[in-house]
Amino acid sequence: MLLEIKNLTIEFHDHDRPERVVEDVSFSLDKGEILGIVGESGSGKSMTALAVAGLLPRKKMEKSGEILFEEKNLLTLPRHDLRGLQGDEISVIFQEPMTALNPTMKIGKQVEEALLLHRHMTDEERKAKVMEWLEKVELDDSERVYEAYPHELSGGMRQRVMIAAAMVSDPQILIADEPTTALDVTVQSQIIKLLLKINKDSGVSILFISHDLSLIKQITHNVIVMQKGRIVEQGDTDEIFLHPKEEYTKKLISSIPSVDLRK
Amino acid sequence: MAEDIIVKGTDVTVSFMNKVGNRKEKKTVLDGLDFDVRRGEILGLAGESGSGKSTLAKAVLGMVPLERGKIESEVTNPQMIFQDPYSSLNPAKTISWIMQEPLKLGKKKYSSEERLSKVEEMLCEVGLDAGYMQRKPGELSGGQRQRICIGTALMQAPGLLIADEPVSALDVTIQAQVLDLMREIHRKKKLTILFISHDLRTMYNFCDRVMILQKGKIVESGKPYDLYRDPKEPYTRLLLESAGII
Repeated sequence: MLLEIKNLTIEFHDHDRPERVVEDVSFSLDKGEILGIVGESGSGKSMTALAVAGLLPRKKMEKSGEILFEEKNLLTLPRHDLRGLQGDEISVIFQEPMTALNPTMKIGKQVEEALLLHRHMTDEERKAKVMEWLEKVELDDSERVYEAYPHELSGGMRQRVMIAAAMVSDPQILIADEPTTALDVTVQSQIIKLLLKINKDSGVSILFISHDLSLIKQITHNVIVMQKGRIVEQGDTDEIFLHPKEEYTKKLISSIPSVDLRK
Repeated sequence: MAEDIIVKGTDVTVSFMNKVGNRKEKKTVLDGLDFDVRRGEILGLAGESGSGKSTLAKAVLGMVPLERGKIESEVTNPQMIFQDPYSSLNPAKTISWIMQEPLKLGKKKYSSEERLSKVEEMLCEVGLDAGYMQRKPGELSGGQRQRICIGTALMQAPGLLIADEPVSALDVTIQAQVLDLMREIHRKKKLTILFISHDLRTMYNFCDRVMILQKGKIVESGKPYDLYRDPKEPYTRLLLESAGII
């Protein structure tokens, strides 16, 4: 087991009344596994992902439970040690690749950032590694992309760049928070294929957050269904889609418009 | 125009001038489209970003000038609803005020009692009730706001409803509810709907005909069953494959 989350509870304390956004969530992620978290707005799926990434604010928020990675509890880990893992062992990609990239920095510089922070490498070694990943994410003309600014690339290309930047340090866990939601369907399916290929080639575990059940069905091995901060149901993806046990899961699955092309 | 055709476009071409540095560049957004909208149907316009589907809707409404071609229309009072019900409603006004507004703008004059009773009736029709009249948009959920947008669009009995990605911003379970509502209204009022979407799955069950657009051209059109089962064009096939339908 690579990552284990035990009884995670997250409460906001920034208003008069505390608001519990994640409640008693437990699950684990194995090496090489693609685990999906699916739910509607406000289900707590992104909060859970941010907690694993160590990106939740430290103030005005109460967190309890454990997030265990390599025998360390990420919830209580000192900031310096957490920084050592972020972008190195644990990387994140987000929905909107335009806001995730710095508009004033060239792509090459942004992709190599994780290496600058976490590895001792010469400039040449770093560039070679960056070029390797720009090619692995199937960007044609990677030399041009290396020297380009984000606005010169399309949405799909930017998301490929984000994936390269997240993967350049060979992380063990990749957290993908709605990575294709802002993209057109044809581009979306290309990015999904790319993530599957990277998972197969590098063995990185992926925590895939989405509201889109048909995507979850395509890409994940196991799935967690969340509603209002709690886990409703979890298990093998195919099994849950075929035989959902809980009412809410059934309702979610039945809201995917079905297309029956048999006569 | 044939009996059942209410909008007919011939060679519809729309271009915009883009300023690139100090020279101007012409960008053709709609490129010689021939199409028609038939009375009482739900016509789906599908395509990716930049395919021209929203511009085509604007052209039907007469909101963008045509460079070439013509659109003949016998539609009276076309109405439009948009993707984001948050930005479509004035946050400072009550639901009652928002829904009365179309009645104030029409030729026929209504007394304030008549207006209020019509609003109340319409709220029931879109699955809400009179309790919402004094609320403001900020107090409603996304699905409820889209119901208000639909209700407001229906106040003056439109001849055509253009729905531009009306459920894309909503959660899946809410999407299903709003689509059910639109289907019911379509059936009850025999309303013609132009449904713009990138979601081919939703269109399959919702639309009578689907028109696939790519880069300002119509790639293919037909009944969803025929089109999805036997796509003639590679682009249609690519879209269907990407959506996991075939």
